[in-house]
Amino acid sequence: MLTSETFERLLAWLDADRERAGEKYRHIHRTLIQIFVWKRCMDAEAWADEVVDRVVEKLPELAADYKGNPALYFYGVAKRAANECRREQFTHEPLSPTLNPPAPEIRDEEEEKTSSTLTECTAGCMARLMRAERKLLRRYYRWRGQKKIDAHRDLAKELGLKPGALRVKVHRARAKLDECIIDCMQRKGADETIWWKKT
Amino acid sequence: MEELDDEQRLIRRYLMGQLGPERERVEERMLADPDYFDRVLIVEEGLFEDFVFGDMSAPERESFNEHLLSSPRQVKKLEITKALKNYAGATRRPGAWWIGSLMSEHKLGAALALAALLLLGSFAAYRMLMRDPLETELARLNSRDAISAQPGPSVYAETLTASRFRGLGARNDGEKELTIPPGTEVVLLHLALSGDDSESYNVTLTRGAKEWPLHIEGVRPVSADGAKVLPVKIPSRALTAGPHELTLSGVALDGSLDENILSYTFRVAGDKK
Repeated sequence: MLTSETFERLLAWLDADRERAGEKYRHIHRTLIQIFVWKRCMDAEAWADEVVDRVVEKLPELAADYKGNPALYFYGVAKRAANECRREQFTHEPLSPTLNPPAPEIRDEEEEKTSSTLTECTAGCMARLMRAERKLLRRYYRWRGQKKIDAHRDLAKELGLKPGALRVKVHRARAKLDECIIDCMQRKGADETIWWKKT
Repeated sequence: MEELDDEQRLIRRYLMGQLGPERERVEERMLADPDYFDRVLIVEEGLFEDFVFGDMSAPERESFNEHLLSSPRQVKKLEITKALKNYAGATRRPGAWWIGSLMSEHKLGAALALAALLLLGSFAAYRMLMRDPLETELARLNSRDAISAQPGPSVYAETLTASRFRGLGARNDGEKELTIPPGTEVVLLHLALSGDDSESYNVTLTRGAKEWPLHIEGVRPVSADGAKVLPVKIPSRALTAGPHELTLSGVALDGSLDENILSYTFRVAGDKK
């Protein structure tokens, strides 16, 4: 179980410098969540926390004996946890919200409402980005197919960037935008079961 | 699909569930190397874009559905990518995105919807599309000239120390409570910079769960009693009772951004009126 005391011990194991240790912890936790998502484990955050708890339990031995990159130890624990997650998901009923879906006419109405909330949040969040980021995303997401490839190449040239660097810039702007939109949807009380329905 | 290098192709196969034992090498590397993890996320973003823009073959779409849309978090990514595509496709001129989006779907329905929107009044749509007036006022109050002027009689000033540095530290530790006197027009917060020496700062004010965050760009630090502080002026009407947080991102001379360096939490007490 992660307490402030065990958290400090974990940080100390990750790195002697507390700030670097914090960055390493944040990266490991965030990456674990995403790995569990890609392994199709439903509650990825809970599984990532479970991995951290298991590592923390072993800290006294690790601090004394473990040699090597701590991130790789986390991975070993994560692999075992992922196997458990797969076993659980195949043997148990899937969790709601799909168990008792609302009637079709109510669902359509809710879907429209959610869709218009998403549109509103997207516009609102775009308006709140820095001007350069807003312009970048608008131009980056405008085209499809060959036009998209040409437009991205032209945009990179205009900004004096290699294509890879342009992609990184877009990714950073997207990360801010996505966080804003998810936050906005939560604030506006968007129905989670509709919001993430598969299309 | 845009040209990919060998690494990107491998990552794409990983994400689409097409790698065998090599998966473990990719996953280990993601945990050990933050830059590599970012590159994986970028490839994933590209996959979402290809899916949304219809730039994928049928077998690829099937793989994508099976491997990348298996959780609420992932489907949110998809829905946001779609929303962004609609927004970008329709914003050929400022403020027109919603018109374009409607017209491209159902012409008659769009015409009726447009008429209804105009009848209901365009102020709400205008308000939504235009910059928040509070942000305009924040920009004006925190411009170079305004900051360097002496505070007026209706300004309430306080000093805050950072509660979190680069995301570390307890959020509510030593949270200051501000009692803003009635009649105050502007709250001037001096943010202690704890040794950070960025050229200027972008400031984000988060005001509880229900309000939009507000942003101020390019605020410059000043010296006070031998230490650097960041003076931030906020219209007092923006600070309703309850918890608030100011987050600073440092801006270097070359314009590069060092995000979320310092955070300051505070609480505004009761009713100012």
